[in-house]
Amino acid sequence: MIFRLKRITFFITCMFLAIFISVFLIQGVYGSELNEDSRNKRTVLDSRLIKRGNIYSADAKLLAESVSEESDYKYQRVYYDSEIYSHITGYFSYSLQSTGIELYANSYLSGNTSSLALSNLLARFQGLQTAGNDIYLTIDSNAQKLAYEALGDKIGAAVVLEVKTGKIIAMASTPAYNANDLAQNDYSAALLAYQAAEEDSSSPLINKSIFETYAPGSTFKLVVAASAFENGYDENWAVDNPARYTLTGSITQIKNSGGSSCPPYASTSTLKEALQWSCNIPFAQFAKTLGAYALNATAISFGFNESLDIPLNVAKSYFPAGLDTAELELSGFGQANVAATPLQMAMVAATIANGGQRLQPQLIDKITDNNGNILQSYSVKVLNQAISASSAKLLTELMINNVENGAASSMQISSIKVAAKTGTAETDGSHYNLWLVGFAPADSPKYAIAVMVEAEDGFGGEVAAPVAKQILEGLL
Amino acid sequence: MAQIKNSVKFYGRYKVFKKNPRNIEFGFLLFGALISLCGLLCVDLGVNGFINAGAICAGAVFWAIVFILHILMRWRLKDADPLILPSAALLNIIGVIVIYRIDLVNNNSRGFRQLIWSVIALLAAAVIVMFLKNHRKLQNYTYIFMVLSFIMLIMPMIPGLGSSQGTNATLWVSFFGITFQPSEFVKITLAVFFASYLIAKADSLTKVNKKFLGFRFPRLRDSAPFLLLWGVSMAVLVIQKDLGTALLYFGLFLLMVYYATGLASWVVMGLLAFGGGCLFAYKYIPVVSNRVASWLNTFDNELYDKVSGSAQQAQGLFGLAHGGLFGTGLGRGWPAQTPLSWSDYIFTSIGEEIGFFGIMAVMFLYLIIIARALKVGVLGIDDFGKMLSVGLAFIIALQVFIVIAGITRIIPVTGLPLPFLASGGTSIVSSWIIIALILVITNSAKLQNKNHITLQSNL
Repeated sequence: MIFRLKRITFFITCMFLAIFISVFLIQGVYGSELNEDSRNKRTVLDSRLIKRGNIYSADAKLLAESVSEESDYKYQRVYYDSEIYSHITGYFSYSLQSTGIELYANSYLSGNTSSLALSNLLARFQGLQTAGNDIYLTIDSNAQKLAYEALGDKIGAAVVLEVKTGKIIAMASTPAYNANDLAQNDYSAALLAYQAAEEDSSSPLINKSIFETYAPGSTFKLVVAASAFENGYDENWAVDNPARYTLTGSITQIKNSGGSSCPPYASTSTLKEALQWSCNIPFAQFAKTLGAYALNATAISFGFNESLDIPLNVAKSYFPAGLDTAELELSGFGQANVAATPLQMAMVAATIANGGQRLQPQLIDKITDNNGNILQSYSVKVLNQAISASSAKLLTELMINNVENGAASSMQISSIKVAAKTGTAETDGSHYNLWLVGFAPADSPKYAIAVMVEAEDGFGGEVAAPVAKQILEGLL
Repeated sequence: MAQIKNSVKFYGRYKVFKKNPRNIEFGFLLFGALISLCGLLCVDLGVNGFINAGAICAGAVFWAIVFILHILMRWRLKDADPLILPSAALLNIIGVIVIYRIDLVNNNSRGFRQLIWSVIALLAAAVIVMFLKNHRKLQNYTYIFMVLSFIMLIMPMIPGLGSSQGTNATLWVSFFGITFQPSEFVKITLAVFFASYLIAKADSLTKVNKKFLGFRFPRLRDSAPFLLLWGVSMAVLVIQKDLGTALLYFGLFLLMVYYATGLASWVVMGLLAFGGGCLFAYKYIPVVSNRVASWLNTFDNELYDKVSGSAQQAQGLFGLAHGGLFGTGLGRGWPAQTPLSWSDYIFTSIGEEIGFFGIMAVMFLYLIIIARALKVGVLGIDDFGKMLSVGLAFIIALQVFIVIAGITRIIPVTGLPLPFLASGGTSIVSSWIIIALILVITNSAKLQNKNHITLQSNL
């Protein structure tokens, strides 16, 4: 009967339809997912055929390029002044996982983005060598060099933001590494270098300004003060000024740095004075009164608990919600569970400097093709109005006061008004994070800066501040 | 009573020329040759940047032999279907070109070897075309085919004769330095045997049966011989661990029984038995549980890193994805990244370089052959011809499905070769023998139609 044949034909049709669909799923629908699987070496092999794009600083200093060589790899990636820039550029490797801008801007550098597909195709028809796109960073080479050298042989990080635009002018982390060691085509040598760097206890491979969080210490008082202004208090808000204070619901006692009441010989301490002399006990009380909800809200508006992409993925800074009163009091001066990346604190400073408006920090200024035509250009991105302009103005005045009359006096620069806050955070009995957060010129701010140094002892004002001062002096 | 009416109408000379299937075939053969030439040039330019004259000569030799076969057909099989030979030839040469392309990377000469085997296959096809005028002659040898099937099936199990070629299945026989896979020919002899047996017994199978559970079952006396042969085939294949072929035979058997008898009971029983067989295999044959694990968790890191794990399948899929919808272009992909890219995974090698639309076009070549063979089931006159043609069509269709479904994770991988495309001498020879048989049948069918011969037909 033909009827049986019809059924058989139908069955065969179904079989082939199933195949068509499954192949389409693989080549069409799931194609990009499969292509991004790290075990799929084909995109890497493709990239060997294309001259990878260059990386430049904002002022067109060449930081990374692919130099052609006679080998299977066709090109060797070369980095210039690598120690200064390696945390930003990262390294590009066929065998090790790439990092930094090499990783996050990979599709542009390797010429793989779909917007390039058509021009690549056309270029191939014409026999032109296709090349990746060039990345221009927002980093200024002079500023970056300054920052790197100012940190010297300390372990720490420095971030400089341009206040009006959010551009990251400098981002240094020490100790650094030489990206050339890890990007070399010789796999075994690269692997050795990688392992050596991994084992170094000062973590040279990690960009401390964005991938690590540290207790911000007294620099967090800026956030607390901002929260106070936002909730109706002013700089004259006064609280008791004992030399010792027992945390609510606990037997632990806290003290001011210096051990006595702060400011000394006064029965009360105002917000202004507490900020000026960086007093812990008053701020514990401020935090307690403001409450977890209000403080949390202010912290979040400054960017805490939020992950950023600059486009490098920045670690989240933490201000936990639902703290009990004792923890709240501790967080009032930046201890307990508060943790921030140096970039986050720089962003706090930049926000205060920018009238309370928080801008997206950006690392890439523009992307061009290998002929210099601009494909994408950076533009200012407003994230939110973190605090009101009046709160920001008030806080600025207090920060100027810190420098002129207070604990941040080592930040004074002749003929330039500087606004700053120092911080000395204890991590565990014998290790400290020493901070300096600020901006300058304070009357019409250009740059915001955050410096963090890991040390065994010392104070922010003594160790971190000189680094920041050196950088700001060089810039202004 | 057969009525033969001589009803060849007189057409003007022009019209006869136009409608001559051999001329249509000639046109398509030229077209195929042109396509393959372009493909070869793309491969050479894409990989090396220069053209290899030797390869072009080899391709020309292939097409020359195909054209000789075409001339043979003008002489012996004037009315055979015109689309089948060009489709088969094109599939064959596409396979050779892609294997050659992979050779360029691996510094090998599998492409050349495949070409030699293709020529041998074409010769085998030519022998059939020359000497088998009417497929019905095959019906005279029904039981010989049964015995032949049995012998060829167990050949690899004879110690000294059989070898496993380094895989985990003893499928090959080697003598005098040539290895071949008998199971590839058994599928043809089995198809012929089943077709003629089922046709002969069709009436008794369909009409003389017992009712059980609402289904009708034929008598054991009628069904015993082929059930026996089928059972033995299955057992032998399972012992040899050639599970892909077992699946193929099973499907063929089920199809032919259904086509001959129309009894749903067979299909249901068959599927149940299949299900049971699968469970048994999964529990007791380690290769099977391996392959199922690899099928379900292809991208699992642990499986990927294991030896004989899922890496090969994953790489094949990566290759396909890399090609995307339009392919990377011949010579511009990385097919050799996948192990056995010239045989088991020839599909992904082609798919990577010519993309989704390209590989679908290749699938259509298969569909053309299958459809034209199925057409005999509609237009053919004698039951045996219909049965055999549909059976052969189904062998191709099912084999293609099993291979590609395995690659794309619809079912687990089986190790069957893709007809015409995959590297493998026995496979290409058996594929061309199938083509030759189909051509003979279509020729007879057309002739019978032309002469308005009518026979009593149950199909």
